[in-house]
Amino acid sequence: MKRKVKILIGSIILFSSLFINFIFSNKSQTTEITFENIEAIADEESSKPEPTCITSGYICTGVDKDGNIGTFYGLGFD
Amino acid sequence: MKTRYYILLAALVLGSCQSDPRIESESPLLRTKVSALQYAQSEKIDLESLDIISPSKFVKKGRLFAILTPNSAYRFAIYNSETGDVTRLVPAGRNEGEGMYYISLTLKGDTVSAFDFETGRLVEIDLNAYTTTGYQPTFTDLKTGGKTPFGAIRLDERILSTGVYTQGRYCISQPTGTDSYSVDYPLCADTTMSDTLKSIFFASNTLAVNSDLNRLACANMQTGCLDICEIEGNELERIHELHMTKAQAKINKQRPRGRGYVHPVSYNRNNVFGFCDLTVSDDYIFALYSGRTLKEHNLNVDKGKVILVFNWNGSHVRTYRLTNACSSISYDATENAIYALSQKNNKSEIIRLDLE
Repeated sequence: MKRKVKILIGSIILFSSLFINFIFSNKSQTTEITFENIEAIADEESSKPEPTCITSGYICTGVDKDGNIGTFYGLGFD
Repeated sequence: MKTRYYILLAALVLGSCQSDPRIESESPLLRTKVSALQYAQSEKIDLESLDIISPSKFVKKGRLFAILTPNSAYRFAIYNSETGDVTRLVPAGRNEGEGMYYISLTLKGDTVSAFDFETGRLVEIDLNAYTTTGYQPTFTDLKTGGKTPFGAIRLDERILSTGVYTQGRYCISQPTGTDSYSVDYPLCADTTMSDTLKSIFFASNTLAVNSDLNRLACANMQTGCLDICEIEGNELERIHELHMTKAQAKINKQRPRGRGYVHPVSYNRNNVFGFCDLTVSDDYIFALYSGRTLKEHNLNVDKGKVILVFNWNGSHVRTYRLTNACSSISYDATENAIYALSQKNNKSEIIRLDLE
């Protein structure tokens, strides 16, 4: 009987932990999807190098949306 | 048996906890000497109603607001709050009298300046003359002597710049064409990198000098690195180097086939972005700090809700927390107020922050 109670408590803790982890990780999954979409759009032009300077506001060295390599107005991230 | 259960329990509890990288890497400067600011809403200027679209930076001088509009057909708009007139200057382009890519604005006396890192030209707009017929801003080419500058600010007849420099972090160029390089690169980045890689890593900066022209503040936008140097003649000497957080970026040490010094730098989604803008008074450096990550704020990392105040020796004096996310600040000495470019809810407004 005592063993069953311990297994029950252990299971509750295990599932609670998994549930909490799932809830907290939901937000970052959404962010990753957003970034994956941007990367997917960038991948469409397969003949050109993959753009690395995606957005603006900074000095970015890498590949712009037209496939040019150099220093651009943008930000590179992975 | 009991011990095993306890170990299992502890492991499960620890495993279920997620750490927040932002909190772990938050500088103590954000939590100390915090003050609230009072907003004077009467000074609110709605830039969209003036047809000023996507403004990124601005400076204020008296009744004039010079605004950087990087995505517009003209890169600068000057709004006169007394007359309500908006004057647009510097058409987009790479030809003479045109400009492409600017990331910051500087006010010195009655002159607004910005550096175009695409054409390598410093543009200067005289606020006393910009409305006169036929007025053209002054352009100064800094891509002389094989230099690749990324940012520049005028001292007097000399110009101080940063760029892909291997002889030093800063360069002072004289009208005669003589360039003087000084100061090692800051230690914020991986110290094993070459100076060329470091210059690319520290490319996006906002620069400011004090009124006596003997101190320089250089704040990095992508990393929280603030560099304060003393200017002596044509040489600089670092007097303080502040690192808000450690940068998280990947730099490709192998250059891809192409032109120039190109080493793609990609920032990690957990990288805490640095300073959005600087504005200075005779006594203080006001630094608008992002403290944001791509993971939490997507592409809104170029805005911030914190103003850190330092003296010209680099000592932290105060931290102001704002309610609006802002992309730019400008100190008005006559009013002892900071004006800020608020980007709250994607609405661009200039607001006034009364200092205590």
